[in-house]
Amino acid sequence: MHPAEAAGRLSAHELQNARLGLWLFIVSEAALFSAFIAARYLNLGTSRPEELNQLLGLGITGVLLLSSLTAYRAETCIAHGDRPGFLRNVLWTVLLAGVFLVGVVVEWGEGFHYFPPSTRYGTSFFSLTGLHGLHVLSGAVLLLGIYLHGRRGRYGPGEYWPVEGVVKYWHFVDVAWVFIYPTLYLVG
Amino acid sequence: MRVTGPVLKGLLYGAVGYVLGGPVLAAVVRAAGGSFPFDLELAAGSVLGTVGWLAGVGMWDVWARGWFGLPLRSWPEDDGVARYFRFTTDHKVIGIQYLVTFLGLLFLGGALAMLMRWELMRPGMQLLTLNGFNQVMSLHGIIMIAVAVAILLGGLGNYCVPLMIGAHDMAFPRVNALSYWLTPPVAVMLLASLLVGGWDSGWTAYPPLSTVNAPGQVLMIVAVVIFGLSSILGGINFLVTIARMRAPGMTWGRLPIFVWSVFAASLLSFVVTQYLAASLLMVLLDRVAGMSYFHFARGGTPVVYQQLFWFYSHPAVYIMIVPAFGAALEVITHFARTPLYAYRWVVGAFLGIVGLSTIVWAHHNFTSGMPDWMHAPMLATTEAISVPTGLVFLSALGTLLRGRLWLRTPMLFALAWVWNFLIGGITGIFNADVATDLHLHDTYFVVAHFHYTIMGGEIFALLAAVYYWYPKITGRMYDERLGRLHFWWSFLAFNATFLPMFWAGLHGMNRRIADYPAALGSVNLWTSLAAFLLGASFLVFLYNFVVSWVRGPRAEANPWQASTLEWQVPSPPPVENFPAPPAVVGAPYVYGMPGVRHAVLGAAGGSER
Amino acid sequence: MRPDRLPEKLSVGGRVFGALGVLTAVEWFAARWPGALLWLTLIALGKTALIAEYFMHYSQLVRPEE
Repeated sequence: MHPAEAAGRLSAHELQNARLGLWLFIVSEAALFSAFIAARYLNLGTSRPEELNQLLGLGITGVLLLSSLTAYRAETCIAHGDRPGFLRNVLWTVLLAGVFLVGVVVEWGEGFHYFPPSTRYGTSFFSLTGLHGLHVLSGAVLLLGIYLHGRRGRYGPGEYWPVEGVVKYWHFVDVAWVFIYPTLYLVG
Repeated sequence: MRVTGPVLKGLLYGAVGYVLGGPVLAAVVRAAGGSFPFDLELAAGSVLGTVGWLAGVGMWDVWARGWFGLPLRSWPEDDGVARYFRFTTDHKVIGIQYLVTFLGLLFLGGALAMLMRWELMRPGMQLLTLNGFNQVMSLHGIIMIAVAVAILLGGLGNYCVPLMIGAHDMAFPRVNALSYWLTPPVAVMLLASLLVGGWDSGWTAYPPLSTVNAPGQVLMIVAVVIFGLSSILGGINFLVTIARMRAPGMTWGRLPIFVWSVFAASLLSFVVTQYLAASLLMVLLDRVAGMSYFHFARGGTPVVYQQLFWFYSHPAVYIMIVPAFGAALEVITHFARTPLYAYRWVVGAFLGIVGLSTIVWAHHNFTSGMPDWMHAPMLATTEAISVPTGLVFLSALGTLLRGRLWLRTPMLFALAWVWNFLIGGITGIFNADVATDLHLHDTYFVVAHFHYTIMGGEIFALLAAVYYWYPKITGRMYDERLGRLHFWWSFLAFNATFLPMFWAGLHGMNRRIADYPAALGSVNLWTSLAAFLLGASFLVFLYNFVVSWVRGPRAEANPWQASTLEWQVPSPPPVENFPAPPAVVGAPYVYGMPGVRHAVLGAAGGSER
Repeated sequence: MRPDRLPEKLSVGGRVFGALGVLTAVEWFAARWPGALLWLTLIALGKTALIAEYFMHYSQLVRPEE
């Protein structure tokens, strides 16, 4: 292990390594989501039940998009040395993640009634929202970790790879939903 | 305790994790009035058990403490044999860990094959029950798949790639250690599955059977998904390492061919492995959450599983065989004492295989009732893949023709690879062709075909590579006479075992069955006897491998007078490999070119990396 | 990186968010057009491109500075 790494700092070279590695990880994760999305179309084509709560679906989609904006603002703030702005925006992102998860739980409650997991649509609905929900949950935990570290003054301009990494992961969680939302709510 | 401490701690934490995530959680949920199927108990327990194992074996101390702002602990870099039994980040330690672990699994899988051949020696049932045979067959299959995926990439790839590109380690040493330490729980789960009824659906775990059979299937699914995570992380690590950790002057065109093959295989594995995980997770969801992906009674579609599964599992054979191509070509060019013939074409062929292999998956499904329109395109793409594969083959032949062959054990095994893979490749055409495959599907013809490609191709190339890099890795020389004995014995026994299987398959011998018509008795008796000989030949290898490591003569830094970088440092190489980054000044294989060099070592003015 | 560029950077994020919102609204109607699957895929790819470029700084991979 190199001294810079032991101190929690990355050299410019290591930073680029880490970025490439994270991007490859994200591509790999995208493949996982694509398999579940493909299974939806292979198993039941584009059919979709009428009982879906469209307003709620659109609402949580907007919430997740907004959380991407606050995550972007958090990373941009810490890159420019604005620590209070960074902390504020991370906290907003965590809150929006919570709102999103509450929305999913409400939708699950309705789903169990209209299209339980044993039905063909329910199978895809619950596994896609569940898989994505797990990613949202893990992303929220990571964001909370960033917030707690940040409050102790751990990050600053040129020294914020953990923030950058978590925020990139968070944007990926948003991108996954960009594909899941039309797959579950809009087609058919 | 210094040596075994971390592993014991890992086992303890793993057991605690299993009990908390499985039985305890289940009891709590049931006490609260919820339902918690035994399948879910197994799955949750083994996931948490794996987490506990990782923490105990050292991941917590050397890595995870940092996430919570705690100071990291570290072990001395040079701590003898203890380094091999804990979360060590040196790529050479990890390479040896992989190599030894998976050689052990190779022998275990081989022993299971011996068990099957004993049962199949005569018609009727001798040794095993019908269900017992299915379990042995399934376990043999999945263990050998895991060995084939991980032994070359994880073992020799980890050990040699950083050395060959002039790097001090992999790009992410801790992720590398994680990749390795995820694999022991996989082996434990696969074996532990026998305690809960095993599973009888083969390594492919086709539904609908896999959605309704014994709970052992759940442990197999969790094990394979965790193994998949390990190979995804390993693949990403190789890609970043090869893309960004090369020594100054090591351009893409100067990479040794083995490095290229690891790059190509990683390019494939880090994406397609997710489809294996996804298809098995869907089976798991059918079992534990009552979903209807493939469960027939609930309206599921089992054929969809086959599409997703083979979207990984056909490319997977190239994840296995492409590094074998690289290793065999590496040995051939060094022992033919001539530059690799058509280097650029081979690189193109590797990348062509990567691309083509993702659009051939459905040739496994010609008899499964998938849509008819998929048959012809999949036939065409599958046969097209013989073009890049043929280029690899022609490169080997061209190198052999232009070189002066030095017939030491590694070269003998590389030549055996040429022969075995030729037969494996040609017989693949009949399986790719819809008309012939309708007859050959699920027969011993297929068994013979994939054993010729994976065992005859990959494992023989692996043996070539193990003998070739043995002095570098161990610092000792293996016994050449025993090596040659192993070669002739295993090569002849291998062909004696698997050539007759083509005949048996053509005459209707079904694969995966415990019994067969009496008319096929003599060919099966012959196959079994040859298989026992083949199994015994590996005892020679085991003896040579172990005894030479302890008592063999000290190896020089470069016993083969090879030109690539790993041979320019002492055997075994020191921690961090090179005192200063080497300066690469030319092509990797400089034979018959006086005065031309591949690299200059210890060059002044080398930067920090 | 000078601090005075921060408001400018933040407003880029706002504009990207606006574009994503517009695309989401279009998506809602595109689901009823003929060939909806194709349109929805194209819109989702467009949103992905916006997020990858402006939020995830995809181009950092080829141009390390910033």
